[in-house]
Amino acid sequence: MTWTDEELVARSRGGDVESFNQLILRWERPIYALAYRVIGREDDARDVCQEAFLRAFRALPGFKGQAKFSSWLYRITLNLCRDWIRRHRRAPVSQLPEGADPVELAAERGAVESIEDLAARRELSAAVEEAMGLLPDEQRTTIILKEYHGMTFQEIADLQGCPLSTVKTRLYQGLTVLRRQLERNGQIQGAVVKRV
Amino acid sequence: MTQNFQCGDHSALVGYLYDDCEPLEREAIGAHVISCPACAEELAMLAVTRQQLASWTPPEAQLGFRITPATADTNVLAFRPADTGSRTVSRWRQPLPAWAQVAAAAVIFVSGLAVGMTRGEARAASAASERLVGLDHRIAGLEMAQRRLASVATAPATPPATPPAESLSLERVREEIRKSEAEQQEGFQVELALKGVQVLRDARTYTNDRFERERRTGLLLTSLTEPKE
Repeated sequence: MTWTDEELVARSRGGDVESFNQLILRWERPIYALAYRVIGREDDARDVCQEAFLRAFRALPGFKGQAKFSSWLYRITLNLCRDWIRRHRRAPVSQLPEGADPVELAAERGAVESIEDLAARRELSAAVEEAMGLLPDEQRTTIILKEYHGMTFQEIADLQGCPLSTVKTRLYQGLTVLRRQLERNGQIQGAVVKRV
Repeated sequence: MTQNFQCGDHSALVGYLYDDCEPLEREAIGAHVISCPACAEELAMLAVTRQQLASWTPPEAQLGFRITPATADTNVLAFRPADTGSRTVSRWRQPLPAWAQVAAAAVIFVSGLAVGMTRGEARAASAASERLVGLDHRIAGLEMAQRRLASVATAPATPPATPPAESLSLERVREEIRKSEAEQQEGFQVELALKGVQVLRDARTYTNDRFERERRTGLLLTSLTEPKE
């Protein structure tokens, strides 16, 4: 039987540790991806992910279900990411794991792609990551939450504690900067609509 | 929400882009974009940027966090054991055990030492060999010169031509002087050549001894640094 998040939260609050472990299993990938995209470091993202679940587990008795469990978890994670960025006092950086071979990395992700496709995707992925690293924290986080986690503008606004219009403005400004940056890197060609 | 979209309202365009707006607003924006190339281009560029964003995927990571029952009371999160997790981690990402790191360091060190010694020994052997060949050539040359000089010294004197009577005595005196000087010079040269040969032979002996000592030292060091079975 598949429990909903709310049901698992209720069971966890009742002392069922395994229910919380199911929540971890369900959400650790998205939470890790969020942390990685915000801070840009694999090991630190994993630490943030672990810490987020630990804090959630500790704070579970105080979680009354006024928000979705995932939104609550995202908030905890973003707070940890903000602390990390503040501690390191710098923008997130793109980082390939030490000793990693980009071709091997790409090969792990899909054997059906050709080498050329893999190389192109790696190049594009690196360009996107680099461009994202240039954005201000608020714009970057807004894009990540909207683009990769499918949150609504209202959810993002609640999470970031800002008006809905601000979320849209951050998103537009962030996407515009990204577009220019990717154009500069040759990943996007200008005036697309003229060719469509 | 208004049904009248104002051209250049980027926030509304973003809502349309993500399909996160009211149906009426969406309808209004859709109608406007058809007739407005500027907004259509803006929208297209934003859509292309979104497509590019889709390529950014975080690296695979070993997660598997789990609260173990034993530590639940103390609120400690523990990693799930790797063998029960469904995810695998690339071998290059897994840290080597300490003993393997020490072993690798030892192998690298010994290999470097052995290569260095082998190179040094080879260089010494090569240089010594070159020196010996040079000495042999010089000794052979000197020995040849020694034999030539010795044959010249022992050869019978050429009978002098018959000179005029008045200059005979003077010419004979000069000839005697030249012969005497030549014999002295030849004797000196022979003596010098013999001494040179002796010096070179001594040098070759010394070089041979030194080369042998270096070779033995190299063998000894190699045997000391080779790993024991």
